[in-house]
Amino acid sequence: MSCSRISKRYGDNQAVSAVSLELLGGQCIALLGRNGAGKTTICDMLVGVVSPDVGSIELFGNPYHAKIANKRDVLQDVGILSQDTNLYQKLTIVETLELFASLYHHSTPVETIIKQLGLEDKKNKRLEHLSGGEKQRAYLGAALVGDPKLIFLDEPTTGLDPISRKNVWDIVSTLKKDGKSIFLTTHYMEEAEHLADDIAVIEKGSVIAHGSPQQLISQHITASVIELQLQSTITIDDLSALLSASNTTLVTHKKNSLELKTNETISTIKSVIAFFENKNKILSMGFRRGTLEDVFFKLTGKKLP
Amino acid sequence: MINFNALKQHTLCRFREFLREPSAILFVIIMPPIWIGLLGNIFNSDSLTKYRIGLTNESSKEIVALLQNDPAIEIEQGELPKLLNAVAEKNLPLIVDIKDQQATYHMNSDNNDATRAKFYIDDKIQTFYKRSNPVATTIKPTPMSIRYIDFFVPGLLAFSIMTSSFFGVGMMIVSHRRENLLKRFLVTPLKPIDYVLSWILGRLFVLMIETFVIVLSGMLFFKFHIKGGIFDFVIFTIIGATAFSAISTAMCSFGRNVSTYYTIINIITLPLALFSGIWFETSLLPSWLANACSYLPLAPLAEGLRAVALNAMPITHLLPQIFLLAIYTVAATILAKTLFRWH
Repeated sequence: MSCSRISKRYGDNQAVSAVSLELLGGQCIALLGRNGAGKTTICDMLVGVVSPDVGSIELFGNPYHAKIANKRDVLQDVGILSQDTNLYQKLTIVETLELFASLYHHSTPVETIIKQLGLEDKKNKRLEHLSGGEKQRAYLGAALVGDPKLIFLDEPTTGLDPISRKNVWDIVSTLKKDGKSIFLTTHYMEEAEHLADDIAVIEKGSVIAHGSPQQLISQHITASVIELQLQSTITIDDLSALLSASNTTLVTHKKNSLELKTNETISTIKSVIAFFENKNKILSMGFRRGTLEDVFFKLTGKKLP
Repeated sequence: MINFNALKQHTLCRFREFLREPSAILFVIIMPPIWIGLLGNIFNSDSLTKYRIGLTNESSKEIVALLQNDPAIEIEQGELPKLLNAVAEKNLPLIVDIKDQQATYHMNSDNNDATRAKFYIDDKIQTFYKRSNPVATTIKPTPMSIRYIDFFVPGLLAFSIMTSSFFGVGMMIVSHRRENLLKRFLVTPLKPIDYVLSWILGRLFVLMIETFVIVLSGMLFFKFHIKGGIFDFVIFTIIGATAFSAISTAMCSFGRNVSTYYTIINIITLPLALFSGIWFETSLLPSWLANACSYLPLAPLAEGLRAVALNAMPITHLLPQIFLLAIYTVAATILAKTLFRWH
């Protein structure tokens, strides 16, 4: 799948601007951005719900858009889990998967999908009676039952509890191992880092950074973050004195905990220890290299949940 | 080409949605017999066999005895002012005051019950006093005209076809679109023809239940029966249901959400029901209005069903009605194809 400089405008709102992406076979690309950044609009253009105003899309090496004549043939190899779509709530999981299986030439047996999703004991329950996590797995089943080569997962774990989220991650990881290409949109940093080979950071409809998680970190973050836990609350005067003495910048400060950013980790640790020697007791101290979260914060000035 | 497996699964989906939706069961299976029972009992002409009249206390004794002995007459005797009050309060249609071979009738001549009663009583009194008619007349009873229930059952079926199409097809599509369910199928290999056909087949399934329930209720409660061919009746029902399914599919493109669609449908349903001869005959309307209303889509449906059920008319004699319904079907299908939105 690839797209070149696709854009979409709704009235006065430029939802997507000149986005170019490429997804190779057996890889996972994640579109990382806050709610309203344009992820779903990009996904809608790529799967053919709407056409881009400008730019082009290719699926399996051929041009593709919402109104292309052979759209249904192309969609035989595409599975979609969309955050804002729904399925028949009165149907059971088995009935839902049978319905979707009937649409594809080479579908996976429904029982195999149910087993893969761990829904054996819920398979005869109607969707309206399932929990959020179970329902999301059923929706994922509908995306997978056609045995697709390319899978679009639009915010697959939004609103799920940690266990359900982990379940979905495990399923996606298995799909990757099976050689499926996965296009993922998410606003969970950890999800992108865990699943994606390639991440595109999106803000206000534009891709502002693109690369593997390690590439993004090494490109955008050169500093380390020192994390400190002290016995008593740090005063503002102490904090100002520390920042000028240790040649650091403040990341966060909450009562007796601190995060400081520095380019010279060892010398900063020494000066921090020296600074607090007679003033406050250091309960714990550590340092970490930059994370995707830091990259996102640096690029957008905002934090993800 | 139709994907028959997808069509089968989607049609099954329609059945399941219907069978698992309590409100659908209520409207299709429970409400029609209640309507039939209620309106059939209220308006059934079988119960209007007695003439209720008021008779003044001053009336001649022999006439009082004459009328009291007639089982077709129910008498309320009293002072004239009291009886007039009963007429004013619409508890009594007619007062008879007869003294010295001089009869006075207190009545509102616009009241059909009063006119009928006056005709019957006057004839009895004239005969009693041996007043001969200047021209010899004989009244020969004709076969019983249709009862209200006979008129009502095919009308109710037509009305049910309309409402269950508007609510069972149109409303569901709007609701599915609002919930982005249609958007989900837009990005699958599902062909629109399979989707639309599944609604039509699903409708026919519901229609079979609806028709069965309504006709059976009429038969059991009021001895209603279809005088024409059952096959003709069923075929005409299917033609009507197809027309209203198409109209509903076109209508659902106008409603962005369920409440807008509901408002539109309510605005349309009431005049259609009132002016298409569902509850009363359109001959009661001014002729220009009755003529105009005969082109409403519900009118040929009700008319055709009545023609088969009451007049034993074969379907081949209903070509004007079929033609009108076909025009609505084609126009609505073109409109639906042009305006239909998946999301």
